[in-house]
Amino acid sequence: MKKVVGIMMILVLCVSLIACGSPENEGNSTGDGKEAEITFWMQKYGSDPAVQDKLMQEVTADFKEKTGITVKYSIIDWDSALTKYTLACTGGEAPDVADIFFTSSLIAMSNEGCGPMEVNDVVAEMGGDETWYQAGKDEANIDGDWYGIPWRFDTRVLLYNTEDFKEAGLEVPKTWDDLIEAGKVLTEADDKGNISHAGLAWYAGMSRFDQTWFTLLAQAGGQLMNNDFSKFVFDSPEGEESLQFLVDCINKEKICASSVDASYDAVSEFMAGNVSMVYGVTGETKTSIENQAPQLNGKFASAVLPNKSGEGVSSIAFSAPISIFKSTKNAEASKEWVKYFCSEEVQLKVSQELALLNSNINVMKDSYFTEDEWLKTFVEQSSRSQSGDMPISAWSQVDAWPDGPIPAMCNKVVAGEDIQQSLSEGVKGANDLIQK
Amino acid sequence: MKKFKKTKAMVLHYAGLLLVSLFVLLPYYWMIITSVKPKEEVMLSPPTMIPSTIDFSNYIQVWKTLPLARYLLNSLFVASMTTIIGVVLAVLCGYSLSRYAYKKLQKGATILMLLTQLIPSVLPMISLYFIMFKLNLANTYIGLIIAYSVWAIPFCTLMMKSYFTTTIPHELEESATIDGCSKFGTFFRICLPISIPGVVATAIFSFILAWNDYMWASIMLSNNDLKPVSVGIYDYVGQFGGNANLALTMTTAVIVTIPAIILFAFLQKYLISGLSAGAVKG
Repeated sequence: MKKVVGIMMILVLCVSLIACGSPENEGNSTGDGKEAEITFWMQKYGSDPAVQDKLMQEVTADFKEKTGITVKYSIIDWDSALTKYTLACTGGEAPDVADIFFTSSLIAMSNEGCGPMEVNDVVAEMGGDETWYQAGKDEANIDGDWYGIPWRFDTRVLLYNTEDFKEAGLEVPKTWDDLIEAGKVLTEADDKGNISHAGLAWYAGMSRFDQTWFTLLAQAGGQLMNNDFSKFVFDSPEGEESLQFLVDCINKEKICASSVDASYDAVSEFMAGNVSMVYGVTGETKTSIENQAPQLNGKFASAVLPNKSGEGVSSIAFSAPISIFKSTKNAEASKEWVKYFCSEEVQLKVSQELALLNSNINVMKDSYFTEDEWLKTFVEQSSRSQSGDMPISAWSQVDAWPDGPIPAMCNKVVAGEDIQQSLSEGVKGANDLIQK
Repeated sequence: MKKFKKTKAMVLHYAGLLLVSLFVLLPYYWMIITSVKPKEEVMLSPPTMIPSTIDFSNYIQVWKTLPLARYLLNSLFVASMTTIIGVVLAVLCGYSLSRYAYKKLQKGATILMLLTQLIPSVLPMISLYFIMFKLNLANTYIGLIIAYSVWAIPFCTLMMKSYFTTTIPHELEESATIDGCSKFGTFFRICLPISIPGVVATAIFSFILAWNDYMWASIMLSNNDLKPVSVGIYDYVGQFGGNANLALTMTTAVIVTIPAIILFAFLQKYLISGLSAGAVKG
C-alpha cells in the first residue's frame, strides 16, 4: 500500500512539474503581422496597479479589434526592469516590444540578434522628429538612428505649500536669491538652531542628490559633457557654483533639512507638514499627496523651478521610448502596435489614466494638460528643460546609484567634503568609465 | 532575602524579554497600524502610534487593486513544491551522508554543500538564468521551483544529516537489522518516523525560503499570471522607489505574513526541537 502511495506521489509530482512548464513558443509567428501574437513589457505607472491593468486590457482589446493582432502585455516592476532589459539585450528572454530606458547603454550591450531595433521608418510615418520634445528625441535617437518612439516624459518642478506662502505673504520664487529669501522666511528653528520646519527640501529620497544637482548645474549654465558627448566636463566653474549652492542651502543658509540621511524623504516630510517647498518633484507627486495626505488637498501647488537668473533653462527632463526588439518574430505586427500605442489618441488616454507627462508635443497641448492647475506648470517647465540623461553607453554606470561617480560625488559634497576635490574625482571616475 | 533576589532576577529576566520583544515586534506593530490608520494619519510626523480611528477599508481595497489571490496561490504552489522536493531529496541525501558514505566522500560532500551556502545568491544568478532560458524554463513555475530547490537542498541536506547523525543512535538501526529489517525498511519504518521534528524544521526552512524570495522570481518571470506575492507587492512601488499607497502596501504585507504565521504557530514545537537537536552533541 505504502509503495503504491509513494509511486502515486511521485507521479503527481512529475505531472505537476510538467504541467507548470510553458509551451516552447508562446507567440504565433505568422510573420505577416496579421492574426499574430506579440509580447509587450512595460513598467509600472500610476498609484493604483488595477488602473494600469484595466487600461492595458482596454487598449490591447481595441488594438486587436482594429488589427487582429493579440498583444500579451506584462507589467514589470521597476526594481528588476534594468536587469530584465540587460538580459533581453544579451541573449535572454526578450519581448517583441518594450518600454525601455537607458537606450544608449542597451544598444551598446546588444548584438546582431538582440537589443532594440532601428525604427527610422516608423518615426517617418509618425510625423518625423518634430513630433517630440528634445529630451524624448535624445533618449530615442542614437547617432542619427531611431531605436524607439518617445512616449512618457518626466520633468521636475517646485512643489510648495500654498497656505505657508499665504501666511508668510510670499510670492513664488523665480531665482536662486528669491528661493533663499523665501526659505529663510519659511524656516523655523529651535533655540539650538535645529530646523523644526524647513523652508526647502531637495527632492532627494534615499539621499540621492544627483538629479537635483543636474538641475542646478543646468540652471547655472553648466554642462555635464562636452558637445560631442566624448568627455565629462562638469569640473567647471558652473559645476562648482551649483554644488556650492546645493550645500549652502543646507549648511550656510540653513533653510534646507536635506542631508545624507537616507531615511529622509522630502515629499513625506512635505506631507507631514514639516517642509514648505520641495525642489524638483515629478508629476506623480500630486497623486501621492492626495492618496496619503488628503488633509493637504487644495493647499499645495506646482511652480516652474527657480533658477540662477530667473530666465532660460531651469529643469531637467527624462523620457523613454517604446522599442521593438531585434529578436521579434513579428516585426510588422510589432511596428503596428508601436504606431498604435504611441498615437496621440492612445498616448493622451495613457497619460490621463497613469498620471504621466508625454514626450509628444501635440499630446501635451491638449486641454487636459494646459487647463489643469498642477499639470500646466509641467507643460511650461517642459519648454525650459534639458535632457537629464546623457546619450552615452556608459551612462547607466556613471549615474549608477549609489556608487556611480556622480551620485557618489554629490553625496560626498553634501556630507561636507571639499567641492573642488570631489568634482575632480567625479570627473575622473566618469571619464574613466567612458574610456573602458 | 533569598526570595527578594529570586524576584529581582525574575523581574530583570522579564524586563529583558519585554525589551527585546518590543524591539522585534515594533516593525510588525507599525505594519499593522499603518494598514488600519485613516488616510490623514499615514504620513504624519511625528507619527501617531495609536490611530485615532481604526479603518479596515484597506483590507477590502487591496483585493481590488491587486490580483492578490492569484499572487498568493502562486506563492503557495511554488513554496509547497519547493518544500516537497527539498525535503524528499534532503532526507534521503542527509541519511545517506550520515550513515553510508565513506568518510572522505562524506566530508567532501559536506564541504561542497557548505561552500554553496557561502556563495552570495546573486553570483550564479545570470548563469542559472541562461540555463533556465535555454531550457525554456525561464518564465515557468518549474524554473522557479528548480531555482529555489538549488538553494534549499544543500542547507536542508546539512540540517537532516546533522539530525540523523546526532539524534538517532546506531543501535536502533542495528536492532531493526537483527529483527530482519532491510536497509530501506530501517530508514522508512524506524529512522524517518522518529525524525519528524527534523523533517518539519527542514520543511519550514524550505517553505520560508521560497515564500520570501524576491530576486529569483523578479528576474525569471515576466508573465504576470505567474507572479508570486513577494514580487506582486512591488506593484505599489514606483519608478524612483516612491510609494503612493503606503497603507495598501502595509495591508498586503499583513495579509502575506499570515500564512507564514499560521505555519509557525502550528509547527513551532517541531521547529525548535528540530533546530536544537544536535546542538549539544558533537
